[in-house]
Formats: sequence, structure tokens, C-alpha cells
Amino acid sequence: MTREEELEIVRQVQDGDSSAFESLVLSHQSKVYNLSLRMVGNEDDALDMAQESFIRAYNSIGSFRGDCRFSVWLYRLTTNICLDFLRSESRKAHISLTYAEDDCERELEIPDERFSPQSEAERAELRAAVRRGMKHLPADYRAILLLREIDGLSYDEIGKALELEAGTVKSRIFRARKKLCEILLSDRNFSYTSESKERKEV
Amino acid sequence: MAECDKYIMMISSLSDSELSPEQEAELCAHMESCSDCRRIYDAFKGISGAMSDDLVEPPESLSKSIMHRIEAQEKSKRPRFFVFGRFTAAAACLVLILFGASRFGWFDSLFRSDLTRDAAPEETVLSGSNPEECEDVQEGTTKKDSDYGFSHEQVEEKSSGSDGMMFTAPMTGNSGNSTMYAAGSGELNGILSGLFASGEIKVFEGSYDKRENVRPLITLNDNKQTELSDILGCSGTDIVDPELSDTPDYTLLFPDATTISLWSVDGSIYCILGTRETVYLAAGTMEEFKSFLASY
Repeated sequence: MTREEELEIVRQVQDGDSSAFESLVLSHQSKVYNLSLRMVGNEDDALDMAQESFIRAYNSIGSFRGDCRFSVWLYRLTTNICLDFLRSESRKAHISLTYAEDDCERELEIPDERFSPQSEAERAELRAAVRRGMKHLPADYRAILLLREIDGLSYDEIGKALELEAGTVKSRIFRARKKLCEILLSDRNFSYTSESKERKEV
Repeated sequence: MAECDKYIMMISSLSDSELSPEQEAELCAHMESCSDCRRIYDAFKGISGAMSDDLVEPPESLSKSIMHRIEAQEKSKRPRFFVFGRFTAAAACLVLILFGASRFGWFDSLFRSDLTRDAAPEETVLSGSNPEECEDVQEGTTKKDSDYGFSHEQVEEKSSGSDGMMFTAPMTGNSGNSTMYAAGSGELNGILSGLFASGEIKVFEGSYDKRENVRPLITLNDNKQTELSDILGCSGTDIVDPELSDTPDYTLLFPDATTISLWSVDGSIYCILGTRETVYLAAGTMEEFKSFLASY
């Protein structure tokens, strides 16, 4: 769907055609669901978050002015809903959602071959390790990485979605990646497959 | 590695294609001779690939459940608002008809014979009692007005809502009609106080449909109810015919299934107490309410 087509559908919904909203749902449900899933970590809550995102988008579509892509506006809603949910869950478990400043001071350990998978088995292992690692990232880091990697937003769009300056987006994405690398390097389950062991020995 | 510190953050931006051509050229030139930075770049790219390749299909039911909720929402607000609007319009027409009728003496005989006997005390002003009972009618009214026992000024005062009640239906002679707008009502604040102290309160965004399994924004079950009661208590200010959108901005659900729906209008909060169809202006602002939600 082009941006113009999307804007036209938004206008129809704003004019009262609720059925037109379905095409926006079908267009964006995959990324909204995946963003929610990686944010909250389980399918049931992800489904709730995704539903809530679209319902909230529908109810507040009158406030969408078209000064950014509809997806940027939608992912912003989704991120906020997920962060609110995680905040309420973290209050119960006394977990911090944001990074500590000193987390960023450690030097980045040089990653090894596990991060450059050659075979499908190695790629699957890396995907699984990244999935595990994301759950241990603070929610702020998780959100910004997901908007970049899952939703493909530019730094400028991420800035609009999260109301951050461009420089902050750049540095926060870097810190999120650095933190994720550290988590993966310390993940004992993220090991060499037999193929990569052979290459290393060579 | 000290020199590499300068390039490491750039490596992250390079993997997102967010460097200028000059910066990209400089970094690539560095990476040709620095295996550590190349491995960092490969790792960042590997992570990006792992995340973007790891998309799952959403359940088929997702889009259907979303559209179903939207349809249910649209259906549920139409009849309610329709009845609300009809009642308002009907009450307004009734007042105008009765005003016109009484002004021109169309119900002269009815007023004289029936309503003087049956009307509530506040209705006798309009009732057109016997001339002997009109000694207190203000001077300056027409002879016709005084014959009917009321003055034009008194009728206007009655319908203006200066006593805080708007659009009662005088024809039935019953001051206990459904009240569309209640401002400054001690009774209303008493009811609200009872509600806010009654136990767990759930706050939903938009409207609430008990048939849908919707997660509330927050659930209050501690001392915060008092704070919320201060924000959403009745302000005591008259309101005139608010134009409310079909869907409220928020809905509160109380233990006895009573709801209060909230609309943001120019920063103020207009509330409808569900069981009584009573509209009132809240004491607090929408900004205060949202700050309360955010703090909980």
C-alpha cells in the first residue's frame, strides 16, 4: 500500500467508514503483533497488546494528521501500550525497565563467529539466542531495537515515534546492540554448532 | 582499540545505513585494516538479520477480533446516543410548545382546572391559577399574563437553569423527571462519593462492553480512589448542551457494574453517570486525570 493509498483509507475511517479500517489492520497486523510479541515475551499478552493497539488507533484516528507514516504513528501507540503493560508488570516484580548509565561504560567485547552464521542451523541458533537475549534487555532498549529491526523505521521515524532527538536515537540503538551482544556472549546456551567448530579448528 | 572507540558507534549507524557518504567511506577504510571492527560490524548485522528473519504470522483471529470489537463498539454507541439525543430534543420541544401554549392561552382551561390542583409547588408559577391568587405577579406584565398567573420573566427564569436544573418536563407536573443535566447537585456528589468508596474501580480506554474481554488500563484497589474521586466529583458548574462524540475517552467500571463515561472537551471532563443518564462537569481537568493514570 502506498502512503497516499493509506492516507485515503485513513480519511475514509475518519469520515465514519469503520469497515475501511480493516485494510489498515491487515496491512500492519504482522509487524504490530511481532513488535508486541518481542516486547512482552509471550503470545497471549502479545495478542492483547496488538488488539489494544489497533482499537486505540481506531478510537483516536481523528488525531492522526498525516505528518508521518501511519505505521510510525501506529507503532508508537503499540510501543506505549507495551511499555505501560511492562511497567505495571514490573511494579509487581520490582524490576527496573530502564538501563543504568554505568551499563554503557564497559568496553564492547569483540563478538565471535557465532554472530556470523553460515548455515541454516547456525542462523536458527542465533535467532533463538537473540530471542532469549531480548527478554533480558531493558524495555527501553528492546523497544528501540524492535522499531528499527522489526518495523524498519529510520532513525528520524524512531525519533518521532519515541519523541527522542536524532542523536539520542543513534546512541540508544548502539547501546542496545552493545548490551545485547554482552548478553549473548554470556549466554551459555548460545554455543558453537558442529559446523562452526570445524571452521574454527581449521 | 582506542582509535576504534571513535568508530564503534558509527558501525551501529552503518548497519542501519544512517551514515553520510563521507562517514561511510571513512569507516569502511578503517574496517579494511581493523578485524575487530569488522567483527563488530558482522555481529551487529547478524543480530539485525536474526531479528528481521524471526517474524511470526499473527493468529488468524487477530484481525477478525479487532473488527468485531470495532463493530460492537459502533453498534453499542448508536442506540444509547440516539435515545439520549431524542430525549434531549423531545424535552426541548416540549418546553417550547408549553411556553408557546401558555403564552397564547391555548391551555387556559386545563391549567386553571387541573394543574393548580395537581402540580408540584414549583409548577404553580406556570399553572395559571385564579386571578385572586396572582396578587404577587409583577407589574409590567400584560393583562393576559396576569390572568394566567405567571409572567414572561418567570417562565424564562425557570427554563434558564439558574437553579442548576435544565429541561425538566413541566407537563407531567412531576419534578422528579429524568434529569439530563445536573450541576451543583449535592445529591449527585453523594452518589459519586459512595461509588468511589465502593471497592475496586477499573478504568478502560474508550467505551466499555462487558461482552468483550478487554483489559483495563488500570485497576484501583487501594487508597487512590479518593484522589480519583476528587478529580471526577461534580464541579457544581452549570453546563449547556455539551456536544459529545459517540465514544467516550475513558470509562470507569464500579463493583456494582455502574459506569461513568468521560469525555475530554477543551481540557475539561464531561461525565455521564451510566445508570441515571446524568451529565455533569467534573471538578478536575483531563490533564489531571491523565497524570493520575500515568502515576498509578
